[in-house]
Order: sequence, then C-alpha cells, then structure tokens
Amino acid sequence: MNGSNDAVPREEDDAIRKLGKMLNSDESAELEQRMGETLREFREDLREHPYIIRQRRRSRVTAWGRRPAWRRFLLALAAGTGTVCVAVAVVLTLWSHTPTWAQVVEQFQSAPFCSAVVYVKEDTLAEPEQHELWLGSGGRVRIRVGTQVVFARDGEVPRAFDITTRGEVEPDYRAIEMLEMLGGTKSFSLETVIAAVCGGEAIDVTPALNYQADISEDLVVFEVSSEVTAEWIRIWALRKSKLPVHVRVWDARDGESVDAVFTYSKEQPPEFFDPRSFASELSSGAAGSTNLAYALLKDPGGRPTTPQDLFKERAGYHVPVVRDVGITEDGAIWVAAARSSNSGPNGQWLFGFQRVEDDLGRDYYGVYSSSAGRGDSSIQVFVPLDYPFDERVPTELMLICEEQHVGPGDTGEPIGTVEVTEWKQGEKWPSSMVGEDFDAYGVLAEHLLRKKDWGRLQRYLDSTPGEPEKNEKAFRRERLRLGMLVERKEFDEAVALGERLLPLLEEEYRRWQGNFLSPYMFNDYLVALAAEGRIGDARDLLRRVGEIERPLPDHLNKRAEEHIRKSMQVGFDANLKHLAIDLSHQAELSAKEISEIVGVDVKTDERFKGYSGFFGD
Amino acid sequence: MDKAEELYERIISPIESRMMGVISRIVRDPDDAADVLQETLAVVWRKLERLDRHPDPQSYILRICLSRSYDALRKRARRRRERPLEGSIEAGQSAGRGDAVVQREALSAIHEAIGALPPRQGQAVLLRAVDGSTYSVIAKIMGCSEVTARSHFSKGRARLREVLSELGLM
Repeated sequence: MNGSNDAVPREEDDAIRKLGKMLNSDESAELEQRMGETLREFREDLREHPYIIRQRRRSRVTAWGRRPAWRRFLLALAAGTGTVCVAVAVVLTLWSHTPTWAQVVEQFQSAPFCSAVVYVKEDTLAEPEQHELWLGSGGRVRIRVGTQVVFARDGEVPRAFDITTRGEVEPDYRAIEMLEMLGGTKSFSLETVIAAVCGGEAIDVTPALNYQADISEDLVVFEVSSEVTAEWIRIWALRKSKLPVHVRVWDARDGESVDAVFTYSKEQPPEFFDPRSFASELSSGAAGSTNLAYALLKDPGGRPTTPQDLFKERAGYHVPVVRDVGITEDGAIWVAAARSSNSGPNGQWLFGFQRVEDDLGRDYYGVYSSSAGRGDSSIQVFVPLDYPFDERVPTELMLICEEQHVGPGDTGEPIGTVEVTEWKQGEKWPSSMVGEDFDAYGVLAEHLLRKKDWGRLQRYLDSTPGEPEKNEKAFRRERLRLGMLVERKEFDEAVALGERLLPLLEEEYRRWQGNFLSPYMFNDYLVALAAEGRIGDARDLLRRVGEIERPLPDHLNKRAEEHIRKSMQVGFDANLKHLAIDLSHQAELSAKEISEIVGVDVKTDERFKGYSGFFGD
Repeated sequence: MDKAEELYERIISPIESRMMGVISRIVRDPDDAADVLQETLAVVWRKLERLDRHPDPQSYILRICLSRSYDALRKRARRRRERPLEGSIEAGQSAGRGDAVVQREALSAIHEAIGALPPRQGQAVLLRAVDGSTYSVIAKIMGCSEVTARSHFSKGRARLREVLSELGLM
C-alpha cells in the first residue's frame, strides 16, 4: 500500500519522524500477547456468526451481501427471541384516523410510482453517500449509485451504465445489494423497500406507533427498536394519505445511519425504466452528467430536472433584448443587452450577441464581452478587422446571436438577429460596463499577431500614434511590433527595438498592478538576442530579470505575501519552459545553448520533465 | 476452506499486524488497547456481511481501529490533564531521573497534544507517524479525498511541531 509517489517526504519531516520514533518504541510483550489472544478468539467466534452459518447452508457464497447490523437485528426480531422488543410506544390515545401499519403498507403498494433519495453514512464522521431509487409498476427498478445508472425488472439480470464513460458496465455492488433485497416481484412491499434502502431484511415485526416522536398532526411515526442493540428504524407517514415519506435507520453506537426520503407521483413513461432507451440516450443524447443521470425522467410537477428540460421549458434559445448600441469615433461597435443569457441543452451558456455585420460588408472581431447576473445584462465590443477603415459610416447594423461551436471548422448556428439603424454615433461605451481605458484595438492587434496577419497588423502599428515612453497604447504597440519581428525572424531589428523597450519592460515587470506580470514579456527580446548569437547577453538578461526586486504593497498580510512570492517563483519557473521552447523553435538553438541561457540542463532538469523532446541535441 | 476461515484469511489476516500496530502504538496502555481491539472486532462482527462485499474492507477496518484508538487516546489525555503525572517534562532538565521516565512523560505530553488536535488532523498525523502511510493510504483509511488528507495532515503536523518545540524536543 505504501511507496506511491505521494509519499510524505519523511526525511524532511522532523516532527513526524520524532513522533514515529517515540510511538514505535518499546512495545510491551504483554500487550502483544493480549491482542494476539483477542484476535484468535475472534477467529473462533466467526464460525458461529449467523452470516457464516447461512453461507454454509447455502453451500455457495451468495453474490450479494447485506448490512449485517440490520440483518442480525431483524433476524432477532423475526425469531422473537425476547432479546429484542418493540419500542416502548407511549400510546396515550389512539386517534380514530391514525393509520395502522397495515394501512401504510397497503397504501404504499398501491402507489403507481415511487422515488427515494437515500443517504448512507457509515459512521459519525464519514461523508454521506447518496443514492437514488425509482420504483415503477410491474417490478421495474432504476437506481443511480455514484456514476452508475442501473436497471432491473422482475428478476432479470440488471444492466448498468456509467454516465461518465457512457458505456455499459458491471453493476456496482451497492446497487446489486438493493436489487437483491427488492427481489424479483411484480410489486414492491414497503418492508422490502425499507430493507433495500436501509440494508436490512424484511420487517417481520409490526412497527409500533411512537407518539413521542410525533410532532405534527399531519404525520404519524412508527418505530421498531431494540433494547439490546441500540439500533432503531423510524418511519414517518402522512396521516391522511397513509403514505410513508421518510425512513431513518440509526445505530447509536457509531452514528451509522440511513435516511431515505420517499416521494410519489403518477407513473413515468415506459422508456424511463428501459435500459435500451437509456443506452440510446447515452450514445446520442445531450451531454452533461445531469442530462444523463436523469435522462427520460419526467418531473410530475412539470418542473425541469435537467439542462435539456430547462432548454425546452424556455422554448429553446431567445434573442437578447437590445438596450443600447453605439459606435465609437474610431469605429468600435458596442452593444448593451438585457435578457442576455441563453442556456443550451448541454448546459453551456451564451451571453448577448456573438457577431456583428454592417451594410458596408466589413468584418468585425469581438474584443470584449461581459455579463452581469443582475438584470441579466451584457455588453459586447466589436472592432472592424481592417483598421483604420475609411470614413464611411454604416446605415445598418445586424446583431447576430448564435450558438457557438468549438470544434475545428464548426460554424455558429444562428439563434436570431436584430437589425439596428439607430445608435449613438461617436460615443464611447458606458464606463460602468467597460473600463474607459479599455484598448479595443490592442486586443485586435494581439489577435492579428496570433493569426500572423501581418498586413492588418502592420496597418494597426502604422496608425497607432505616440511614443512608447510616454503612452501606454504606444508601449503596447511596440511590444506587438517586437513580437511580429521575432515571428518574422527579423532579429536584428528586434534586438534594436528590445534594447529601447527594456527599461520600460523592467519598470512594468517591477510594478504591482493588483498582481505582477509574468516574465513572459521579456521572451521576445531574449529570443532575438539569442538568435543574433548573443547567448551570453541573453543569459545575463534572464538572470537580471530573475533578480529584479518587486515590492509588494503594504496592505497585504503575511499569508497573502507568502502566497504571492510563491506564485512569482512558480510563474518564473513555468516561463522558463516557454522560453526554452521559443529559443529552440524560433532562435533554433541547441539544447546546450538553451541550457546555458536558462542556467540548467534542459535535458535532465526536473522542471523540464516531459519537455526534453522539444529540444535538439 | 470454511467460509469463516476464508473470510478471516482474506480480510483480517493480512492486516492483523497493522491493526495491532496502530492500536498499540496509539493507545499504549495494555487494558485500553485490548478494549479498542475488542470494540473494533465487535464492529467487524456486526458488519461482517457488508465487509464481505465491501470494495476495500481492510481500509474500513483500519479506519475503525484508528478512530477508536484516537478516541481512547483523547480520553486518556483528558484523564491525564485531570490527574497530572508527577513532575513535568522539561527538555534538558532530566538529570536525576531515568531516561525511561522522561521518555514516558514526553510521550504522555505528546499524546495529550495529539489528543487536543481536531480528530481528523490527529488521525492523519498518527497514521503517518505510526504506519508510515502515504497520502493516498491516509485518504483511503480516513474515507476522504487525498486533498483533504493532505490538508488534515499538514495542519496537524504544524501544530505538532509547535508542541514538540515547546517541549524542547525539536
């Protein structure tokens, strides 16, 4: 059981080592002897265990077990040994309309459909497990245990499916345990259902009314308990309808408990209990564990139970309501919408509009999208891909809401469109929804750099004014230019630009902005230096970056400081991998040269584990 | 092989020594340790049929051993607080007393410290110290996720370090 890679590093752990040493010393011979005797006695006693005796009689080991505590207890009840007695029910008055246990049992049997949510706790501190059980007419059963959905009917071999793998699997032992106890009957008796959900056998002694536990006129409480084992079962039933609604099993010795909550309704459609229909849903139905776990389940009250239902209930997608539209002086379009959120059948969410077209035939790129739960509002900002564009102003905008697909080559499926002919021309977006200094075209330029759309990027670079030392947008522009030069392997120009930008980069790197920026910002310049053969300069620069003091603001507490310092180191190490790959691919350096720059052997260092294949010899 | 023997050999036998080790090293006192083993086996008896079907009965049994042992340790630590031993452990001041006495008192003080930890933290620390368990084993035995086990362990260890340090043992 030991020896996995999650071992606690013992040599680094003085406290635990010392504790272990002290606790593991001088074990008494007397203690060992007494424990050994106890175990031997237990081994002998096992032969007389009722479970073992029954196994012997059966001559073969049954496939499915039962909960022994309850079995033992209920067997004793059935045998009427006198060691077990029915709970002391303080019967002061028997109301005429108080149902008898027999009536509760009868009423349960007549319900067309019953579902139970079962919570099992193995002891006081254990996390509870939750199972779900659905019982239909004709002995049809469906159970959800963990990730499995299990079907059975009338003694047939159960079929089980895993909703995470979407495949057929061997049924979970807990489901089998329940099914065996339910038996292969056409209708379920309350006693067997209680036994199945609670892990015992049929209740052979009539539960007694316990008026002490009865706090409401609507409910009647039955109990079976034991004087000697401290275990009891309590059943709450509705006084008028006589239907049981809650069963609790409690073991006072260790807090082991089972709680089952019952609900009733009209019959589910036949496919709900049909494993073939379920298999078909798994292979072709909506994605998501909620959709699959409750596939084909119809809520009797007409409420949605899955994202798929929710989607249907809302009659599919809707087109958001346009609240405000504007076009900024430099041509960015912003759209504020209400009722903006759409929920898809697979549980995915869409907010506002995804695309914009105009009557001039321009292409737009979405640079910003945000939504606020309050009022279900959203705002999107789009910019024309061709920037700067001519002075023409569109006379019509088409706002498109569409379902977005993520697969390669997928196109969005239109949900609806809104034509707009009036907007706030020359106005910026509302500052309450988008920051005033939001650099929409900077975001576009980053997209163009990623797409290596040099023509459009160059136009952006040429038309964005300002000196990088004085203007933040111009600084961003020059960083994008540096990126473009490196991508285009124009390393001599990149080195010249990098030298100019270095003081600004260092200042930006040092500055706290609610967080610290990643050292990734130096990579383009480092790659350019290395590609120009200045390996030593690249190495020295990287070291200098690693040594830059980055003062934290005063208001942070010690824990936050520690966390940030740790994150900075993690970020620095993570960037070494990106840098090494860029040095290999863009500057075409050997592993030895890369190792010299990053200061460790990239072929063997633990931090580069899994990445060594990126580097040549 | 008889079913009883088969069950014993399959479920109990492989962890006999671990059960005894966990109980005796945590509880120490022979009477208390024997009681804990009895209680554990009583639970095993009651749950035998389920254990026979349990996917990991041994972790379950070890969990019972651990929680019962820990309860006994806490009770004992409480008794000790109510009725302190003569003298107290002071590191570096053991002259005149036998090493065994010092060791026993230090151990009692540590037991008291572990008993004062939140149960899950104390259990995680003990599993590591006594059983040399990895996080995945600690998680299995405690019936929680590995992340939770790590969290319990590291919190318990931090507190234990403080105590050992206060006792002059670190």
